[in-house]
Amino acid sequence: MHRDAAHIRHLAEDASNTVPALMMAAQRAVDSMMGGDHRMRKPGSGERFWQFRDYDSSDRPQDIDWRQSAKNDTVYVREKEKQNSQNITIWCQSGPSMNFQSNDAHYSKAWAAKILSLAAALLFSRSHEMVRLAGGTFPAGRSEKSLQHFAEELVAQTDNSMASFGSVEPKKNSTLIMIGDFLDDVDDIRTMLSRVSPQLTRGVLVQVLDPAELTLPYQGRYVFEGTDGHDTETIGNVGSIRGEYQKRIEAHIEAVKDCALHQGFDALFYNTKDDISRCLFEFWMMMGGELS
Amino acid sequence: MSAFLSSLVFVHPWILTAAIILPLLWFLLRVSPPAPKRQMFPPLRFLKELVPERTTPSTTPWWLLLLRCLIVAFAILALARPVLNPSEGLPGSADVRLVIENGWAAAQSWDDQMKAAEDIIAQAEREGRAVYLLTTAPDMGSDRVRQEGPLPASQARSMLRGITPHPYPSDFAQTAKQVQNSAYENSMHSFVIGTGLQDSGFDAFIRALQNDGGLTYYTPDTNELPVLLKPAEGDVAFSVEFADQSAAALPFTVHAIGSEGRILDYKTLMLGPDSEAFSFDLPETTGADLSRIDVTARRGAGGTWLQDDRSRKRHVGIAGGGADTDPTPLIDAVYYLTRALEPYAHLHTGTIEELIDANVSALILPDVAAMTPSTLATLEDWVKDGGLLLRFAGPAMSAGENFLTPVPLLKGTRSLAGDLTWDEPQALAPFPEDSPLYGIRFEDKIDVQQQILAQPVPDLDDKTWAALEDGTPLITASKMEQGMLVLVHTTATPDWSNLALSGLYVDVLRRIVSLAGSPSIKSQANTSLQPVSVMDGFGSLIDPKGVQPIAAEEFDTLSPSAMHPPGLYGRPGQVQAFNLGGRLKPLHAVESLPAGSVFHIYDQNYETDLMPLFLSLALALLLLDWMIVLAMNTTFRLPRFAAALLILVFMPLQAQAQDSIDAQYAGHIYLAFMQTNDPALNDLTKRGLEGLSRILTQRTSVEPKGVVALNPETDTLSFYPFIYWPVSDKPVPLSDNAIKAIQHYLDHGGSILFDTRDQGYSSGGMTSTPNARALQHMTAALNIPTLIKAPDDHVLRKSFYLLDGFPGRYTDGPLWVEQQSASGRDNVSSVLIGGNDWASAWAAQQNGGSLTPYLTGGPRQQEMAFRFGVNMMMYALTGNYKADQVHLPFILERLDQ
Repeated sequence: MHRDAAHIRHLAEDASNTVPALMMAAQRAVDSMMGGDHRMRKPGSGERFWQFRDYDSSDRPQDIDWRQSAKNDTVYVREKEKQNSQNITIWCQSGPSMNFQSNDAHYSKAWAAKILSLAAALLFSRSHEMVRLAGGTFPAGRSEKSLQHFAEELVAQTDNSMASFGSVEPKKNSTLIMIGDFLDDVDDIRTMLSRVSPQLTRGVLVQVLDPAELTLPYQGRYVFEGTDGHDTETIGNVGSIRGEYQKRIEAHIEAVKDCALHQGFDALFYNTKDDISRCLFEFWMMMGGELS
Repeated sequence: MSAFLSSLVFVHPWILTAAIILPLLWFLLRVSPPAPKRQMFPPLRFLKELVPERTTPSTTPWWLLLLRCLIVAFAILALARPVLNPSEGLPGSADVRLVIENGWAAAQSWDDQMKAAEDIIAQAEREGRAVYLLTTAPDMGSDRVRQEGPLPASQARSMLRGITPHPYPSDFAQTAKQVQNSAYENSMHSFVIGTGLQDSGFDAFIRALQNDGGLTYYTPDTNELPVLLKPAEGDVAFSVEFADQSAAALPFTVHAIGSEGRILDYKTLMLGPDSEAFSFDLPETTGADLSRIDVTARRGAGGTWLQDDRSRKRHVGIAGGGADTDPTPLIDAVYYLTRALEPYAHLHTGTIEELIDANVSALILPDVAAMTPSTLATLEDWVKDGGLLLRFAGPAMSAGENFLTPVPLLKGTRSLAGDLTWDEPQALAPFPEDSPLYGIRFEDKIDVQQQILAQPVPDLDDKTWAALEDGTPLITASKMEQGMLVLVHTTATPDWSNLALSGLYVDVLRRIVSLAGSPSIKSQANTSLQPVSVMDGFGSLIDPKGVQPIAAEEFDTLSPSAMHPPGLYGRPGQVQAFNLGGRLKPLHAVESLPAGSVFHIYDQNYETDLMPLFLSLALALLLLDWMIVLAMNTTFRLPRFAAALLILVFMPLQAQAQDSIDAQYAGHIYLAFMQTNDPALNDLTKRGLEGLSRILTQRTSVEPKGVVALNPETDTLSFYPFIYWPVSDKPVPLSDNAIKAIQHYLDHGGSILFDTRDQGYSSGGMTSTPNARALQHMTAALNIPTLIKAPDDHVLRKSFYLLDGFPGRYTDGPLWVEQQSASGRDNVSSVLIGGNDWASAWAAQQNGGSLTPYLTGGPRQQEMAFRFGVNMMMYALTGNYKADQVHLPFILERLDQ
């Protein structure tokens, strides 16, 4: 616990050190996902060849494909696919609650959320989408430089709670990716989603939870503290309420998912105990159909 | 309660100051319940929704606090070493001399003495003073009393345990000398762990100690003073001698014990200094078997009287005179003989044939000469078979032909004093040394007026037991095959001599009658009496080690000593008892001590160290606390009454379980053995029986379900057809209930194999190994029938395997079985006793080629031991079945015809 807090504080203080770390983690997640033969077999990005057509006087001369034109008398213009790149906003939750990491987990929830965010940004930028970080100051972009800014701002965010989401104004017809633990009341989440959903063409909600939050694996007498450190609850024997707690948290996850689907969001769940690239892969597959 | 408190003292009272931490502990425990672990937990909201359903005790309940405070309190108390009934500090500050009286009298108050001595050693240990040990009786076969020191307390304690009471009196004179001679630098206070009896040299002994630094004398209470069992009249009646003539009469139980340790009879008597002598009126058949008399409450040599062959009552027939008519007083020979022998023998009168039929061992014929040939033949056969014929001369004998006399007789009589002679009556000469009568003293002048003379044959001297001063024989004797002929050459009445009127008459008759049935007619005058077995201080017979033989002429006058402890002397078959009773000076109680010495009476209030008690209490509470905490943590939801309910449910279950266990044991065969107080032995026996159980299952249709260790005090014995009982050298005494249970078991078909595990088991009276003695002691109260060595044709040798012996770990020890088993038992002996340590052989295990425990005969011997085990089990289960089968060839032969 304290280790996690220290860790996050360390991240905040020395962002330059952690940006590469985050970059590497995100890169690794992306690479391992891309490692296999996952080609799409259909025309996709705007870099690709679309068709040849006859030269028109309105065309610029430099668009003429000389090699193709040399084969016969007609002058051909190499025409690329018309590209309409999306604006993608990624909102990554951070804060004390996200800093939780139990023994079983690979990452704290915040770190996992950041890896996911940056990995997603990487993937999107490769697909020539415009990515920006919600709450960030830099405009959307897809260059290496904007990705660098994205990562720096992502690491610098240390208290980006649900409440701060109110200031996020996604652009019209943009895509919103929300990554967080979503432990707040379902009604609050619904209100929040319904506010932004009319603007969006697409929304994805990734709920990141720690395995301990799912199973409550403690034994004996415990005092549980809230994220603010003042709110406590003493449980004489944790084992006696474990079953009941698990039911509750399952129900909450289900409710968040229902709420998201209802608001036109896709919902994804990530347990920090699991392999992060797998989650990323699921996420990418979910996005892939739309990105073609 | 206040008396209890006043008798409670702490050895380290300063530790009690630690008790002030108790309130602190209370405070600490109360304000800080066991700290829970803290855990940051983001989904706290969900926990909060759950929590209101239960309540959590935030503080420890007060009763748990109290319990924990009690634990600490008990631990503090235990560390302070509370002692109940502490003795006042020992006088003086120098080392301590502990004088243990260990003469015969000590056995009767031995437990008290040991407790007092240990108490003093414990105090000396606390005060850091060394201990000197001194005994007052030399060890058996030694001539010096033991003196040890200076010893540290622990060593003194173990040394003390090695001291045992001896069966002979303390040697105070020598002890006093030892005290004076020992040159210790400092004088020291002496504690005499006494018996309350004084003896010669006692005053000097006490003075010596008093002069050497003061004295505390411990003595038993007046009622507990030692007593001495001694013969009252002629070895057949007894009285108990008290040291204190004013002692009140006390109830005593006196046992008459047969040669095999069986209790023949017992009497409970009120005995005091003035009480009458008592005697046992035993039936004739059992009376002959009497071997000792014990005063049970006062075990030890002083309360034991050994009975030897001589004093055993014999059946004596006196021929002449009808069985129904009383002899004429003062005239009839039968009258004199009866008066003389009545206290010492069972007398029968009647015709010769009648008496022989009555199976008498000695027959007295006063002046009977003529007999019918058939009577003569009968009489001769009887003598040849081992009878003792004692004849008296008389007018009838002088007349006719005489048969069955030890020497040929001259016709007629020699009259030494009468109207027509001038001879003076001849007096009796002292008995010759080789005569069996040698040693009998007579003060009176015995005058013989008339006698029958023997023909002067060459061996007349050899046959003469007593002669007159002129050399003519008065008593002659000769052997006749197994039997003996004795002739007194004068009358049994005072007609011919005054012999019949003297005390010598009684002694001579007794001596002669006592020879009946003994193989030798020669006296052992010039030989000495070898010790056969001697008593230890507690009255058990042990091997005579270092004991000197007693010269025959000294035997009657010698006092018991370390060189000559009481016991049986002579040679097997002809032993004489050497008892304390009748050989000691009259007993005197210690009445006064020199000024300055302290008199102390043994009491029961010895120091008790309460530390173990308190420590175990603390431990028990700690366990309780642990269980409570466990219960609070795991079954918190369980309502409290559920625990009570559980107990209620389980209690009847337990009762049912007992029934089912009984059914289990009754439904199958189990091999059972008696537990001893030696865990190693129990373990060995268990393994042995398990080994035997395997062999039985492999080879026979007996398939034991398991091995059961029995405790005779608590377990039901009746489920087991056969119980193996290994005897340890320090057995726990059996309670009355246990003895009843075992007796019931034996009487109702059970069999017990006692294994003394020492091979050395010899026979009933002569046992000497510690285990055998332990067995005797343990089974003294059991009614065990007569045992014999298992004969060659005993069923045990052929009930499954054909066996030559009964090998176990040892191979040569005999096995004792009942001579004749009770009807209805199918000839299965209820008690078998052996010493071959069978369980060890059965338990032996292959251990790299050799057997552990080591068996000389190797695996072959173990095999034989198993065979015995199989035979034993078959015998216990099938009885004489195999004995019948031995006749099978004959039965088949008959069927053929």
